[in-house]
Amino acid sequence: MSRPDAFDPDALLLGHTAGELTAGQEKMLFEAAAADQELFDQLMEADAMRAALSVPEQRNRAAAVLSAWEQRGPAEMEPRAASRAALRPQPAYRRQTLAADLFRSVLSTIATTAALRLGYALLAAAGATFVVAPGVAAAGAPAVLHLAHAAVAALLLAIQFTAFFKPQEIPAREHPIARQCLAQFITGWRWAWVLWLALYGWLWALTALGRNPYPVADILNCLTAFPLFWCFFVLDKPSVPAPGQPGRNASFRKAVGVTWGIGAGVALLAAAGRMHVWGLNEFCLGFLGIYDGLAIAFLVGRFDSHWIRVPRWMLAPLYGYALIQMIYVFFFNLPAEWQIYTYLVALLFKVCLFLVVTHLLHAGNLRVYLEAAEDGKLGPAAAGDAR
Amino acid sequence: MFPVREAESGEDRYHQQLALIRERILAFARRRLVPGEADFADAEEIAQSCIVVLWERYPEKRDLAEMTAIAIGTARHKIAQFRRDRDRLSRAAAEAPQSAAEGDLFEQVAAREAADRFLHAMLQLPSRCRELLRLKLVEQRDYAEIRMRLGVSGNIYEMAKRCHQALLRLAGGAR
Repeated sequence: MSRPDAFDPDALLLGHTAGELTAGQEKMLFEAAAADQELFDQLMEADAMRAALSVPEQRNRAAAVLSAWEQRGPAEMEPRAASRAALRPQPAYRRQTLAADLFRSVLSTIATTAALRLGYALLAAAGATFVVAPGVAAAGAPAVLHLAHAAVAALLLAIQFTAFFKPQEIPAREHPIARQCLAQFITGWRWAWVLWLALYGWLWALTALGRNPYPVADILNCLTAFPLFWCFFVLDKPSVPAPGQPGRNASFRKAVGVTWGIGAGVALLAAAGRMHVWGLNEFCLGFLGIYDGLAIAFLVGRFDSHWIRVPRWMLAPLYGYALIQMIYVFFFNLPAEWQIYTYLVALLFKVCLFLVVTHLLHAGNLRVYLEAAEDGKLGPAAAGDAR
Repeated sequence: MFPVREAESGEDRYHQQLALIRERILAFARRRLVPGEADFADAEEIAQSCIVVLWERYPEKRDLAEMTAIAIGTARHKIAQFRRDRDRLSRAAAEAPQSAAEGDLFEQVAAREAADRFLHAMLQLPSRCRELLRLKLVEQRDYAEIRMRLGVSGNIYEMAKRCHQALLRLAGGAR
């Protein structure tokens, strides 16, 4: 991004109003203004603005007026202003033809077929390394696969405590509520990885010992969904009490409590089904799959906000991750090779989820979203629903 | 680059600079005040009073950039003072705290008038320009964040310069 190092009067004027010029740049600007009447006149205006905005009272008033204008004005006074759904410049209109539509459809069919075939080949090649012998597979996914899963989870969890991909902070002075919300989100997100690590660590340990890891694994699997629900509620509801509003987070607490209760019920039912007690069977694992899938789907759905700005294509594997949770209901009946493939796909999707959330935290997308929520900019319903 | 000619002595050069600055302030005051608010004599008086301030209070300042910076600040206050004397203060003073000292009150009124001009100009800008300048000048965000907030893929800095130019033009004609 260019800066007014060379003589650029427009850049220098902007820098002066923003109060970002160095002493050398200021000198250059004032000298030039003394020699140029037009620049002098503009500098008079820029200097007056700078002086006015340096007074906190006037700055706050300007912020309030502009904010009120944006919220009330555009609909009434700027009928042609771009909607929030069209923040990017609109591409030039091109006439679409039926042939082009058909061609696009055929092309995507071919591309999808080829990509999925290639994907399956890669998956089968990778999965074959875990199969004991062709056609004679072990009873389930081998311990080493669980170990790989656990190792990846541990690695991705550990990265979150390093300086790499550090989340962008929210200044407490300007957005104290958003700052606390971000901390809540990060806590939930890290707990999700802790629980995934516990789940795959348990699976690995018990499988390596030749023992049955279920139904404890089912309960751990159910627990992994709860932090994702937590993250969703942090983004969706006012989750932080404000001074003078101790009950502001009441709906958040209610949602968390109910979701925890539902999760406990689902885990109990899944464990009972796994153990064939109370007249139940493995069909009850389906509820566990739904619970896990909903947790991911709700969270990913929240990422779909235009304020968070996740590219749509990036959401596809995340929704895919939510969908494959349903495989859990008949997972135990799958051939061992299929279990291995499913595990590998789940691992791939899990890494995708990590990359997307890490990007949102590191690039500041979540910060922008939470700050906008605190500022009441997330839409009409957000007036009483700011985080 | 600049029209200040090399002079025989430092004093001659200083007087040339004072004359140059006076010319700039006078032209500005004439352009902005004379059409409706003042006559040519008022503009002359404002320009002259700025030079007097430079001459009497800052005799050690001999650098053109420093002198211009002082003159611009002084001219801004002199113009605001002129408007106050033209009975504009009475309306704004009623809105200011009663306990404020006269000097503070004057600063408040000057800042408020400048902020009013800023807002008046901002509200005439296209919405994207307004949002960009609001984030930059009012919220003091950096360009990387503004680019992300607005979803601009091009050069946000060039866009900011153009918007700021439009803002200055509108503020100049907003009187």
